[in-house]
Amino acid sequence: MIELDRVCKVFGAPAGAVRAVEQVSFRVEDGETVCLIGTSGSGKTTTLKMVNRLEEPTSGRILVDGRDVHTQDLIRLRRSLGYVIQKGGLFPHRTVAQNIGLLPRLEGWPADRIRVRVEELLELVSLPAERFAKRHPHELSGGQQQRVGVARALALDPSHILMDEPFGALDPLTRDNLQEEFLRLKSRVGKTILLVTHDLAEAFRLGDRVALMHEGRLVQIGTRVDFRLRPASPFVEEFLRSHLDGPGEALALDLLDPEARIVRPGQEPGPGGPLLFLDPEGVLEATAAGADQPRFENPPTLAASAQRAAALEFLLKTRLPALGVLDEQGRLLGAVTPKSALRGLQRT
Amino acid sequence: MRRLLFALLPAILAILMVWGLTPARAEEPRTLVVGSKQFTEGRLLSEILAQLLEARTDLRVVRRMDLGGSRVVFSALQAGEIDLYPEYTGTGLLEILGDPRSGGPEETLKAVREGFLRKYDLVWLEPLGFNNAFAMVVTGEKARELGLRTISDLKAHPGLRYGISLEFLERADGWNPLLEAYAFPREELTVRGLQHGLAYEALAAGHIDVTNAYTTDGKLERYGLVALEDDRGFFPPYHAVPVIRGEVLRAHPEVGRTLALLAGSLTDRRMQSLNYRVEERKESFEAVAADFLKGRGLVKESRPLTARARSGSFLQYLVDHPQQTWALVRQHLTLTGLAVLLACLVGIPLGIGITRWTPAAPPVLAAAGVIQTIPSLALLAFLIPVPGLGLGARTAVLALSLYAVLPILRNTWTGLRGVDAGVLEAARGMGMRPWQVLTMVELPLAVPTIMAGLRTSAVITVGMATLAAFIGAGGLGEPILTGLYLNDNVLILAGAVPAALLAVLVDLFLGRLEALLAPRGQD
Ligand SMILES: Nc1ncnc2c1ncn2[C@@H]1O[C@H](COP(=O)(O)OP(=O)(O)O)[C@@H](O)[C@H]1O
Ligand SMILES: [Mg+2]
Repeated sequence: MIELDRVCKVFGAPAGAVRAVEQVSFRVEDGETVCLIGTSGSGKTTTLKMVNRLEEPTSGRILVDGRDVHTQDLIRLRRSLGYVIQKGGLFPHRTVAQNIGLLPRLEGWPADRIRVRVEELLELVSLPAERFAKRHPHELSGGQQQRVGVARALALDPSHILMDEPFGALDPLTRDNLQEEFLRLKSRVGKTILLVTHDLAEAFRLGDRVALMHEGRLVQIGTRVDFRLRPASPFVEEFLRSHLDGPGEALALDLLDPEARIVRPGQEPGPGGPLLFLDPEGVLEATAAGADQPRFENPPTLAASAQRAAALEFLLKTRLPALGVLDEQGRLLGAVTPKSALRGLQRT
Repeated sequence: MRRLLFALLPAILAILMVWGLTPARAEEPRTLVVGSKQFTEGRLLSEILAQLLEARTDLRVVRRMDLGGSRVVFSALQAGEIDLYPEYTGTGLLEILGDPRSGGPEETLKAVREGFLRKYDLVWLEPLGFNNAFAMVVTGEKARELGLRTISDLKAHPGLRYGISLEFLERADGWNPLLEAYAFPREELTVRGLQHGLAYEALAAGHIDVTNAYTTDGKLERYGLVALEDDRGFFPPYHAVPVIRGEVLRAHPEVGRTLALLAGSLTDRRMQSLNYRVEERKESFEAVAADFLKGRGLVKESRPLTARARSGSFLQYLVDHPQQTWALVRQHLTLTGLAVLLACLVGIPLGIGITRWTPAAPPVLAAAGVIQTIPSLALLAFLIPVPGLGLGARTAVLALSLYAVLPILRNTWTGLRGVDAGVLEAARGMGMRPWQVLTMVELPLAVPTIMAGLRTSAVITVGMATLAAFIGAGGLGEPILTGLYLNDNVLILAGAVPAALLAVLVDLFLGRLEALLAPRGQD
């Protein structure tokens, strides 16, 4: 667990102090991935670097697994926190195997154990050791370098990993690949991860939760649904609108059919549709394409965070005229219909 | 293998150091060190003094000939690195005492005697006789053509081209005061500075019309030159006198008595002809000195003498003197190697230091730059009196390394700062200790830049090391400098060509080393 408690960082410059991070508090739970997002200069990197003490906070406390990082031996602390940066930061004069094996070597592991570990890690990041171990970084593509960077960060099997725009410098296709791989890896290694990105789609895709920073302050932290349903401020709304415009990124939440109407017990459905019928407890009891159309009792529902592809697939499978969309508390938000699920796709 | 070489390099150079450094002067009570300036007459007079002392006292005489200009020799005398050398009264008064008074020969001698004794405990013995004054000279032809007889006559011919020796241009009793004393229209003169040894050739070839010379110069006759009369009595008298440390004279009064035998024994003409024998007839200093002493009945039997070889080409010279040449090359390499090693030992850690603590960088780099601008002779003269340095290899190595340090320092700084910021951040962030970051990441990545600096530095130092000859530290500068004042191209080339070759070889060798040490995997 990583915990930040009212952390501030002021860069003192004679010309004028820069308040890079102000009163930031949040936690990354064990096994959780939190993505720090925000515009350039909002203080993400500074926040991250204070965790492994590449920067020292001006005030506030940072705890890793309950222990104040400030009281720990600097070197031990850093070796217990994997660190991945943009472009990998690989040592150009060392081979892939030497890059990955460096920390184990400094830890005094025997050569055999290092070799085994390097092979294991290369396999984990899908780079066959026999082809890649002896190469130098400049003989790798950007994506391959980044994989090596990740493997290197995992060398000592740290329980926490800090990543600063790990996929930032890659072309979109490679980035997509690596994100995919990241999710696969995450499920296999179960680390606590704090990841900085400036790509909102990436943040929502990779993070269990997303922390949005603006001008040094933490504006909101939560899931995508939280952000969508309960934006903390007009700034957050605006930020989401301007940073999430790819149609492929839409969730069930974004695809609600404005024509769908909720019908409470005793209400007259009236003309038009589709319709969502609630029981007296407010639970969805049936759906129908219109007032004089067949009712489908006890229909399945969709989570607000379901992705468009999942929603479409579900609609096709069930052949329902409308699928109820529920928020995390099980409250009905609206319905996705075949028409609304396809909305936006034609445009591109 | 690469790492091994890297580790061995300082060791190899350190061995060179032990092998090469001459010890500072051993304090042997029965030894007398005779020094000389670096020009024919000074060297010849010193040889005469040395031989006379060898023949007539039981002191062991050590020769430290061919030291740089007045300043260097005087510094050496003051520092006790040498015990005596012949100096000129005028030089002593104006150059060393900085006394602008001008007067007749008697007054001048009296002034330097008093001044030197009081200020430095140095004693001017008896004058040898001749007055090697400065003179402005023109070819006889020119003198007749323009009717030149006195220095004042020159003023009527503003078109004349002046080639003035570098030393004379700088001297307190030299060019500028001369212009003032004669009220020359300074702006109208065409003046270029040149090495004195080359001035006569330039005069003979018609590249210049007037130069400064010495009245006893053996070459005046050969080139048919006429000395113009100093009609305003500007030039002070330059009588040659052995100058000795008071301490030495008190311990060995016989030295004073012996040298008194030479008082007044050399007239202007006799000195001119002795100079002529060395310079034009290519006789050796030793032979001419011995001959002179025997002729005066001051020594009985002269040692077997060899005439200086009159070799056809410098290649022939090198072939004829393999051991000498090899010794000079070895000395030269030792001086260079030690200086560069010392510069590395200082420059690399300092370069690392200023990347750790950056506020120090601008002043440190500026200071190293300033050192580069100090004229080499001034630096040498400044270092000689420092205890433990004196004449010889130590001072030469130190001076050379001061010049060698800048490229190494600057490239260390540049190389370290050039290391990719992301790489450094990753290294620190992953938990490498500061010295691990330095030795495993920063230095290996900076090696190509540092090596390039080292290479530049070494090549420059090979060239600079020829200056070591100024302070008797040997090296290939020895034949070059002797060749310059003897006007002997063969000698000049015998030093210059191997020095140039050495520079090329050093560059090639370090280039190979650089390639070997460069980390793999650099784009
Ligand atoms: N070492 C530093 N010295 C002074 N100011 C800094 C330093 N590092 C970052 N800053 C400033 O702090 C602010 C936050 O920077 P940073 O954390 O790098 O932002 P982000 O990673 O969100 O782009 C910026 O205004 C930046 O200019
Ligand atoms: Mg950043």
